[in-house]
Amino acid sequence: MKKYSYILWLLIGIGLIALLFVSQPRLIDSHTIDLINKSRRLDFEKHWPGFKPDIYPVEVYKRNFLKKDSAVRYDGKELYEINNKTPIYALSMDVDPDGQAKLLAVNARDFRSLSDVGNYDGSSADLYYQAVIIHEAFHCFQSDQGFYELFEKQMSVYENSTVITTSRKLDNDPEYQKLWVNEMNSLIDYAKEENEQNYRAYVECYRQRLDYLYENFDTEDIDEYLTYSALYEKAEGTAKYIENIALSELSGKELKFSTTGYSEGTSKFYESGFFKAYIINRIEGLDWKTDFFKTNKTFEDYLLKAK
Amino acid sequence: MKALIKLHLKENLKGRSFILFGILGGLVSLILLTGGLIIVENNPTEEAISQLGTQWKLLSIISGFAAVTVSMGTIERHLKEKRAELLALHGLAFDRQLFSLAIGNSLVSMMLSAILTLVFVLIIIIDQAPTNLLGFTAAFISYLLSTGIVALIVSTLNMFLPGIVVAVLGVFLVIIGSFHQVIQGMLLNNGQLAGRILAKIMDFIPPLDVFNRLTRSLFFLEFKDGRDLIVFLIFIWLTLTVVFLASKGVSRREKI
Repeated sequence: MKKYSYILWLLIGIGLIALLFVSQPRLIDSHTIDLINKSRRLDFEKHWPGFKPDIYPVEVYKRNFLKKDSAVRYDGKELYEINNKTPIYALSMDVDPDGQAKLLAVNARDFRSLSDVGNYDGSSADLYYQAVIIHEAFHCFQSDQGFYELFEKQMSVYENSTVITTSRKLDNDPEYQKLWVNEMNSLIDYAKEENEQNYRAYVECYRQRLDYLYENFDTEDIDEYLTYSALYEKAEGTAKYIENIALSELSGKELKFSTTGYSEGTSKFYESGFFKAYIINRIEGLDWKTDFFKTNKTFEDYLLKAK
Repeated sequence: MKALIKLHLKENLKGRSFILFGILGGLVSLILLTGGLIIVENNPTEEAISQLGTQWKLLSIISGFAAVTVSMGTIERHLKEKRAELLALHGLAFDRQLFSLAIGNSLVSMMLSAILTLVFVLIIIIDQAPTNLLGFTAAFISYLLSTGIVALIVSTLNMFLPGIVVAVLGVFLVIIGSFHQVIQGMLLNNGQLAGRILAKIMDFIPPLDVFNRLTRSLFFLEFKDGRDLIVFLIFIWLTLTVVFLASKGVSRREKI
């Protein structure tokens, strides 16, 4: 009797492990493919003319149990595994040697695991996944406009400059943080309600921040820092703007404007760039999107002339 | 065997620790209810779901620590006591004693985890959370079993290692397990060979965060991912098997 119960226990284990292997998708799970397809089908022509998310292939990281991980490429039609190179585990974009911009992604299950601290339900995690796919697809679009090359080139220049030191100094400066948050709050007010008073309040906050920078730091360093932050805002702020529009359309909820305060490093530029892109986009009759990535124009070039 | 489990439960279920865990769980639930929401801009999740989900996550972490506290030194103490020999003389084989103690630890941990959720359950009832009795029961069982797994692993470690070392390893197990997928993601993202190897090794550490996701998906009646359930069942099976084999191994070594 005891012997039989041991055999039964062993069989249960073997059965469960077999079930795990059987339930493992051959390439990518159908749920991830479904979400990628849904996001690729979104139409952004009215939000950013020329941006078509479905023209960029997606490479999804495939985790293999007990063997080397690989990448699975999907172009909307074909799905195939790439085994001859080390896959990158990220939600990002990259450019193939032949110049084709592509998205790098993890599957929807992994994405939920990475972004969830208990505060997401399954359907919201799926919406967020689709929005992030759109965010990265927009970086591919920026690349097609020649902006990615410029961005990479500039960033490699900044690696050897004083901009990182300046950035760290500002991240540890409480007065600067206060001025930054004030400016963000004024942008939020202006985004929520377009009127002369809110516009003036924003311009005043912006001027105060600039005055503080030039009064307390070396002019050359600040010029460089402002160019650096404007470039980051341009790259990430516009992508965040498109991501939030996608999230709003997918969830059927209105765009929200809020700030979590001052964040160190470059993450604050996603937020500031999103507010600015939204406000500029509201200006009637202004065509700012056609050449935004092809010129060195910043958000301020449009914002400060808004009235 | 059943008698030893009952005795172990009787010895460990003291009123004071129950009250303490009841208060601790209540405090966590109330603090999160009054402003512990983790805000992410444009997160489409309903606020109530975010709040309840975060509570499940935190309670599962605390219950993991409770399991470590309950289980960290019991086997070591039993090995040093005369009772082990006496029980063996009375016909309860040494391996079965160890197995019973591990199961006993797991049951005590589950009871403490249940106490932790008392205030949370009240909130669920009063606030009319988006669930039903079946969903809540399934979620609650998976939550308790996750704690049970931690207690079983800590008990097994205590068969070979001193209590203090087991306590440290147990805390690591809970922390790493609760953020298993994020840590694994970070290791894979760094692109180094060592990172990729470590990420593979992590496949064998119980992913408590995946178990917690299973709990939440059952609770919010959105259970779709069968793989989470399969992984959960495999770890239960694997842990029980390891406890059984370790008990056998240790009893041979001790030759009682």
